[in-house]
Amino acid sequence: MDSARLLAWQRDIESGLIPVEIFGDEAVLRLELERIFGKSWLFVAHETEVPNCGDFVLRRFGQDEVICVRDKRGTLRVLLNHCRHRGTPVCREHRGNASQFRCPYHGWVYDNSGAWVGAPFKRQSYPALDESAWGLLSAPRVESYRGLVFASLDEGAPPLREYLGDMCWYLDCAFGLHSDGMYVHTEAQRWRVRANWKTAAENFLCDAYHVPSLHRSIEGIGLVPDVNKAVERQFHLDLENGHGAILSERMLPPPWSTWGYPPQVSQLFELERLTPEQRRFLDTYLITTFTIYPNLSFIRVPGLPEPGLAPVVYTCLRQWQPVAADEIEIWSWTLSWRVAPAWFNDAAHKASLCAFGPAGMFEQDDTVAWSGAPAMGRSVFAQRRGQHLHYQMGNANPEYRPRTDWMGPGVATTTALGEGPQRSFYRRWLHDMRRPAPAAAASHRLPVLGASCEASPAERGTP
Amino acid sequence: MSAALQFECAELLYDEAELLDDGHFERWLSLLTPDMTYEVRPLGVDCWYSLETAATLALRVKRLATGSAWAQQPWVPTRRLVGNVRAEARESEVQVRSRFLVYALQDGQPPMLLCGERSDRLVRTEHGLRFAARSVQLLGRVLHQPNLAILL
Repeated sequence: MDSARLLAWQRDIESGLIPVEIFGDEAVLRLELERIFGKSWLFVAHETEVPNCGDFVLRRFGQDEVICVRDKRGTLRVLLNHCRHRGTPVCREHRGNASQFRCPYHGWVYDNSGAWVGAPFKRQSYPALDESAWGLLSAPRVESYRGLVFASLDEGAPPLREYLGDMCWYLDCAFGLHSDGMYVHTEAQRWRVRANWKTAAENFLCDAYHVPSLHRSIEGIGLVPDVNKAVERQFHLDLENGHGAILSERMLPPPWSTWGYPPQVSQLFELERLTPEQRRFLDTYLITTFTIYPNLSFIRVPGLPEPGLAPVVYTCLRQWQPVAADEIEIWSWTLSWRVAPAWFNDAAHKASLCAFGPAGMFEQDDTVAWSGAPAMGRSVFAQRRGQHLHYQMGNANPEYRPRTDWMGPGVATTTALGEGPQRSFYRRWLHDMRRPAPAAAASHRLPVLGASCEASPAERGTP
Repeated sequence: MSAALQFECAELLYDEAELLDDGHFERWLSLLTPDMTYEVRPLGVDCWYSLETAATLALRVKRLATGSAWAQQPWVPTRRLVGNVRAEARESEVQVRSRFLVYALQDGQPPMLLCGERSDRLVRTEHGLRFAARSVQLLGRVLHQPNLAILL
């Protein structure tokens, strides 16, 4: 991709015009994989998916398949699932517990920290192998916050807390309500959708505006009593670095808590763990959705497990995995509170399935709307007649402005009828796209062993 | 296993398939007991796509009539093949296993082809056999469909 193209986008994006080609172009995705997915902190697992030494789950990391494993010392590792001998996947189960990963092709063996530990006929085959150089490729940085495990391929990346920045304050409010935390209620649902990953990320970032149109049917059947009112109660949190959230005033009346928990659950929370400002926030507002740049999102809203039953609030994490410019694989987990009674967690799980996931009565319709942008991005007609999408809502509109007395970090807006966080998201996106990926680290350059013939540039470690 | 029971259950599944294919959802709902449970899961993954009851299924059917259930609008007809029907009487109930293929085409989406297995618990009522529980297992750890708006 030439830099002139990126430069041309700068002015467009600054003025809230998004070039539609970025949603359908494989060359754009390739650059995103290198400069965004290859550098950012990416979510890989919830800590409760790998609680014990040897526990592993297979995950996507950009377009790569990685093993997220708790090694024999209890350290979380993120390992590329390819044997260093011929590239064969060494792990073929999607989860489990293992002390070693053995490649099926020739039998190279790695321990659960990724270290090379053996191969068939080792004495005859590899009398002088530098074993320390031939372990599975591993992410240099793995850190977690509030149960969310992230990894980065950038050795020089800032610490995860710094990357999350002000989002940590809100993650404390979402996940820090009890010292026992949350756990994954089941394995993740996974499904493939015709969409560009950015469309999904920006939807959960701040798109409350689509609800009264696309999800009107939910009002028709009484799942949400008044979708217009639901949107009017909402507003944005713009952290101005690609992260952001939709915040809302209380959705359920007392005795439910502001966040929608019934007294039997809310009385179990340890709110003293939070600061006075955070407690004031929890008393007044809730986070309905958020996105952590680039591709992790969250939703916590009340729903009905069944018509006629009391509403329950449920929590889902979801990740938008790029498969192609026009395709994503969605991973969605329902989270439960360890301290909450089983009846509540089970009801919340049922309510989440009723609304979200591939069969959810909310979410099944999103996938229809999202399929358009990639097609328009490749459209000759659009190329000739105008290839910008309108992201200017709220620009220079005094109704959509920062709240002056906001109790938390970041910029909270007066309403949700604007697109400020989306504009911040695409500014961050362009900033990253214009920065070359860090060069391969010196430690990844391998000496050529016993080479009498000329080494290829790759073997010499030429960047 | 009685041939008569086997035949009766297979006919019920064929009738049901036609109702779903042709969009006669109210008539389909009438084949369910009021406390019917319905679940859809991927084979080999500990999670659910659906975990419902007759009441939430009725809500889905009601939603289709709102005019803004976009995943099914314009109407997406399906064609499903049901086979390998095995029926076993258990006291007053019948346990029926079957396998199915469902095909559908929706504008702008890849063709839908789902393959799976159903395990149904039927009870005999004054109106005939009715579904009291359905458990569906779909092949594939990843659903290669943008949604599961159709009933299985």
